[in-house]
Amino acid sequence: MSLLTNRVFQLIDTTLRGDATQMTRLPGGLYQTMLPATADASQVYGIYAQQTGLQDIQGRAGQTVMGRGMVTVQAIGPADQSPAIVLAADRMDALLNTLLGAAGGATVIRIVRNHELNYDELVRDTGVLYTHAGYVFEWWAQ
Amino acid sequence: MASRVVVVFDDLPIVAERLHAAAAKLVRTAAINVEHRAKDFATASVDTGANRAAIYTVTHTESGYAGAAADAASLNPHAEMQSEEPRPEKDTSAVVHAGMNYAIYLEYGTVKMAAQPFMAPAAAAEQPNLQQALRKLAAELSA
Repeated sequence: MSLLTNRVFQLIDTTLRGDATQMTRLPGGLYQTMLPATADASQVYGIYAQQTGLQDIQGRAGQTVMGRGMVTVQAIGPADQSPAIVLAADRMDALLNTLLGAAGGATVIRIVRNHELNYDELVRDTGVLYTHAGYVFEWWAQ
Repeated sequence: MASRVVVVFDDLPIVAERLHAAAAKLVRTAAINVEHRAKDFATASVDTGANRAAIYTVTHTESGYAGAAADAASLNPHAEMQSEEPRPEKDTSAVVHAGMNYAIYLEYGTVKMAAQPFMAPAAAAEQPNLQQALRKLAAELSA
């Protein structure tokens, strides 16, 4: 993962954790990339993860002027908690879409929603159906 | 009495037709490139290879679905393909589809597994090439 992607992750993490309403809607916690094996998946939790790697955007003279990439931010939980999952995903969108912020010193980051995610997943060994709801966000950073 | 002859050259329809055909060709090429890139990215998460084989392109006139389904089935007879993606109405559109029914879980992750994206990185990698090709086309038109 690039340094810029890491800073985008920092901004997403601090933004979501800094919102009391959001964290109330994620009683299972907020995690980067995947749910730890020791975590409880019976409650609604949040995941943010890299969707594409860093791409450099170059100016006319060939110099790199900024970087861009995509991240997914989702709320996940048992499907019988779908209304709560959707509420958590809505809050993620409200907090992150068109967010302009900074992390890691002077890095300026703009985050914009690209498309939404909504899918179900049956975990065969437990028989539990999980719902994933969230968004793919595009980011630009310098 | 003065007379005059007026000759009108109206090349716009010809130019528009050529521009359209060139743009359609660029879109098709970009889609095929995205398919190849996605297959490269999907190599990171290969088990049977069925997911990789099931990535195909659909354009206005052609679909790689049948070949992809046959290849995927030969690699994993238990794998299930999703239904065929409809052909776009316009020849300046194309779709690259990850046809395997579990592709979404690889792309976006599961409760037990981190995402191993292969479609979004492929599209992102090809996007600058398509933009550059379209800019070149526009420059040639205005020259």
